[in-house]
Amino acid sequence: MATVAPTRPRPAKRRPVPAGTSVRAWWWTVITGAALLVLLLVHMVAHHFVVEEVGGLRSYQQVLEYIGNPLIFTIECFFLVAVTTHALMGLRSVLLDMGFGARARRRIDAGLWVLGFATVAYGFFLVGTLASRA
Amino acid sequence: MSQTTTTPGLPGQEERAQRGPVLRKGIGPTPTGWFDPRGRALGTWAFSVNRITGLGLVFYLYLHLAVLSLLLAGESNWNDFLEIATTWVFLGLDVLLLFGILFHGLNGIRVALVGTGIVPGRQQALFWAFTVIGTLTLAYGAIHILGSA
Amino acid sequence: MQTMEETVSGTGAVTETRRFRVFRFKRGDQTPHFDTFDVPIEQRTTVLDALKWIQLHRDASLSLRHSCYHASCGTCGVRVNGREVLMCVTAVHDLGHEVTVEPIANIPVLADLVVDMEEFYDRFPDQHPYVRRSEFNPEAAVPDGIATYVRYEDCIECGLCVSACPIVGTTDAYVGPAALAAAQRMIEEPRGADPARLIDWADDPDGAWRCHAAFECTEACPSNVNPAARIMELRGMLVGGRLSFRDREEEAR
Repeated sequence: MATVAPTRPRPAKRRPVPAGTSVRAWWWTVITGAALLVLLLVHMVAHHFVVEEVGGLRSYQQVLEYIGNPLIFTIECFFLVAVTTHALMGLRSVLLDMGFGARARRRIDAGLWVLGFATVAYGFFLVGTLASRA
Repeated sequence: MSQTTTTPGLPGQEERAQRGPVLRKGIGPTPTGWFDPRGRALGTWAFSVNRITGLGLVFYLYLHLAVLSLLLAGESNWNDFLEIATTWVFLGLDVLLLFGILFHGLNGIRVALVGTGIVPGRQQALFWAFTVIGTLTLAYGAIHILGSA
Repeated sequence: MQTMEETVSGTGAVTETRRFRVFRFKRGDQTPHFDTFDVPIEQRTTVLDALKWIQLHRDASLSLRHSCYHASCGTCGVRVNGREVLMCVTAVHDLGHEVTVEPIANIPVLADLVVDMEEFYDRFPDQHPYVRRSEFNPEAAVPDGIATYVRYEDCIECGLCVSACPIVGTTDAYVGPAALAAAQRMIEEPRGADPARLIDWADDPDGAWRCHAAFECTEACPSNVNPAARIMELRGMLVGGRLSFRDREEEAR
């Protein structure tokens, strides 16, 4: 497909990301999305439809009781990881559509990993601290 | 698949070397044109709103983590927040959030089914089916949220 | 008395006039502009008829492309009132009082309604199908002397899908629906092409993964290619690894 006389500037077609990256990215987005259908539903019901207060919102003590339960704690941790992954994959999709080159894309991917780890780490710290007060 | 050769001196060759204007649909600079779905088909509306709700939900995620940090600061701080959280404005925003979650979630199921090649040809039917489900759920949720105030 | 000049079809019966706003741009212009023409039309006047009338009777410098007059060659793709259509089969009568005609989007304009289709063709993979086994009923009796039917691809390479696609509208790097649909058809019926290379070509952030299922391309396509569904099939193949090329090649033979 060599145009000897190019009529407009067009970058050569090369692979900016390793093969299979896009497939994995799509796969993770779909899997976390599917998980969120369940996890988010559970989370919403638990925090808006269970307690008798206005809007189903828990008071401080009720929050501590809730998060002190080991099963709940585990589910909420899974929820945190799934929602952070899905959110940052979606953000990645929007960013990739902005026309960056190969190097910028790698930096975006690296940045998103860092942000993801930081978010999950903070979340774990948050629920861990609250659970320990229960 | 084009193969042009450099036959020198073809008329108009220098003019053709300059790229003419490229017309784009939608407003805003070129990479952001996706959020203007005016005059477009159903699938683009779904995509556009999916993105906007997605970005809104990412923003909400971090906002939520920040708000939850009030719990670390003790009971009275959390109670102050609860007072705001039960005002009409806040509950109204909650309903908006519910819409965002429902649209993004249900449309996400549609995108997953279509975009993984499971039901590639059925995207419009799926959209309307999910619209019905989503509207009913939103109505129920809105009544519950606003009704509890 | 009505003269030949006054009517589009020459039958002498002018039913009405429509206002046409036509996109104009020539090399060397600072910016494009729109010219307005009042064109007499009849019940069956097409946009192409009207523009030819403008060329003949009002402005001979209007540049446009057309060929077959029956939606078979894909040459006359334009946007009429914002929608991608083939103008040879678009009736003016149903369009409303003012008709805006612009070239298709996302491909550079050469002059007026003519775009540089080289950028469209450049997006296609190296291996590009033209002929497929017939989609007729395989049990249908073939006349004597004919072994089997073959036919040309549905895709007439008109570029309407590339104009309609909102993602192509955000970046020139995306190969676009026509190219991906062509790759999928080649994988479906290889005819000696290498499906693995085509799958590899499509498995790219600027390939099949850039599609966001807006399905504009399928809406705009005048030729039943359904590019969006084909792109989703491609993604299904990429995700599921269902690369049973050998089976497909057996079928094709």
